[in-house]
Amino acid sequence: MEDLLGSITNFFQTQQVLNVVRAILIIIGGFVIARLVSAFLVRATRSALDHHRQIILKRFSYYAILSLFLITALIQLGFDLGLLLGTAGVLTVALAFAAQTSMSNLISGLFLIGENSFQIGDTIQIGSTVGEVLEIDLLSVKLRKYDNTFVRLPNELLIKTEFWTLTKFPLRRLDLHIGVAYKEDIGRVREILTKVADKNPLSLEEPRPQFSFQGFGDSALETQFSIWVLKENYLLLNNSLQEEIKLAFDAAGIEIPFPHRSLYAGSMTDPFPVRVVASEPGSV
Amino acid sequence: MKEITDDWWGEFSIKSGATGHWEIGPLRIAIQRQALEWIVAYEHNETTADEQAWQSVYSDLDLNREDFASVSRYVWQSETEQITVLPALADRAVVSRPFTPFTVPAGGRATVYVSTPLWFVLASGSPAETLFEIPIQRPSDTWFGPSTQQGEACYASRTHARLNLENLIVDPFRAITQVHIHNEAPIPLLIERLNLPVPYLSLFHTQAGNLWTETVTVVQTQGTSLAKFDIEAEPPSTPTTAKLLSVPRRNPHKGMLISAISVLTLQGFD
Repeated sequence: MEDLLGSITNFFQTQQVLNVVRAILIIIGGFVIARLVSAFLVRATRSALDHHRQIILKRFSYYAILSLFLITALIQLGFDLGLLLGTAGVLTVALAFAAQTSMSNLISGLFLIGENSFQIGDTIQIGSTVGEVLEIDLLSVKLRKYDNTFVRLPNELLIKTEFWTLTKFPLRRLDLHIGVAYKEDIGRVREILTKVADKNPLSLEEPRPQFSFQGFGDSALETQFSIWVLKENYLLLNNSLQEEIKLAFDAAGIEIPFPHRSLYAGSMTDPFPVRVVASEPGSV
Repeated sequence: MKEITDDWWGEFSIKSGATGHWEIGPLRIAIQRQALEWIVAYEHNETTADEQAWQSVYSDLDLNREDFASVSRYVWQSETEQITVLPALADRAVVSRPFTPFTVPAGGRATVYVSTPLWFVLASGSPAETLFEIPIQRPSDTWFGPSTQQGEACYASRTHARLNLENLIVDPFRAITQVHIHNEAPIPLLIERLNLPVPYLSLFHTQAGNLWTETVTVVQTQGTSLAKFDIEAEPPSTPTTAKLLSVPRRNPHKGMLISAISVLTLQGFD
């Protein structure tokens, strides 16, 4: 029995076991210190950096400190760091071939973060997808669409494609394309639209709403009415203003035409004869 | 039982189950005391209201919720019947335009009078805790800054800034501010829009029955778009002292610099 206890004690006193224990302690210490330091950095830079940059700083500092401790733990275990780095180099080349897409996303992610085209909480539009940015990671950007679905956009896609940050600036312009009948007086239409915009408190008084006559359409005189609004009120204004314009046009008797088609049998012919036939009882 | 008070603000006592009614310009508001809550119902009616008219009527009439566009409820455990109604200045800066733009020559001074919209604030308890606040007349949003990317969201005053106080529209739901403009720059200063940061101002009730803020001085110097903004202790000298009604929403500090006078240059090609 004493022999067994003695051999167990001896085993634990061997250098190798002690090294392993030390390495484990270093890694645990690394986790704790990396966590504390990254949290401290976030707190220290709260006033200087925005939320998005703080998250990046937190992640980078966390992984940098952790990797330093991991390397120290490996040295403690007796690994030769030079040899390890050499192997890592060969491994990286192999990995780079195997994980081309991931690497491309990773590098795109770094560029995206550097560009700062949008931040967490911004609303972006890519193609027909509109959503709020939840996370900007090294491989992808995560969006919450307004129908409460989750979208993952690979960073490579965002680097290659055109996208819109809808909430980048404090103001937005709402463009309404309004067609009115050919018989209407454009001056009067402009006056009514301006009055409607002035009455709506969400439409900014300055910059002034802009009215422009866009041209002679197939069925209507085409106009564009552009109203400036604080970005958070964009949707509210879009809904309220169009309703108010319709009511104001109805009250003023201004016609918003639907597409017309005139049937024409050539200039030399008479108009189509039209005969009204009274329906007889019993007829189909 | 009906009782009409001199002012629409002050301390009011509303018994459990009773309702207080206020009609101030376009705002119609009813406040009912229930066992454990205050019920506030309100509506803005911009079209039919006589802008000059106002009354605060306390009545036992029941509150008909369907008569109002919005109803909100505030749970209130204490059994107090006292409620405080206060006027307050806007929560953003207010931008006014002169009736026609004018120029202050280099080294010149001008005094203008500006009227800004007021908020209806409801508070209860001791110390008074704000339950609810609403603009009496919702002012239009506007933007004050050099571009659509830089600047601040403000309210647009529905009234013009005036050089003569007599020309200013004075309502029981607007506050008057006297603004001294000093142009210390060597070039004339064109005043097209004037930005007044009312959240830094207090509200006073003068003996004449009007609501005033402190007098402010805007000093425009050369080479900067920012102006020095000084707040005096009181409204312009009146025969009797003015009574303080509400304190600033934001704490003003000495030597404040604000963007008071600027023109937005907007270019667009589509």
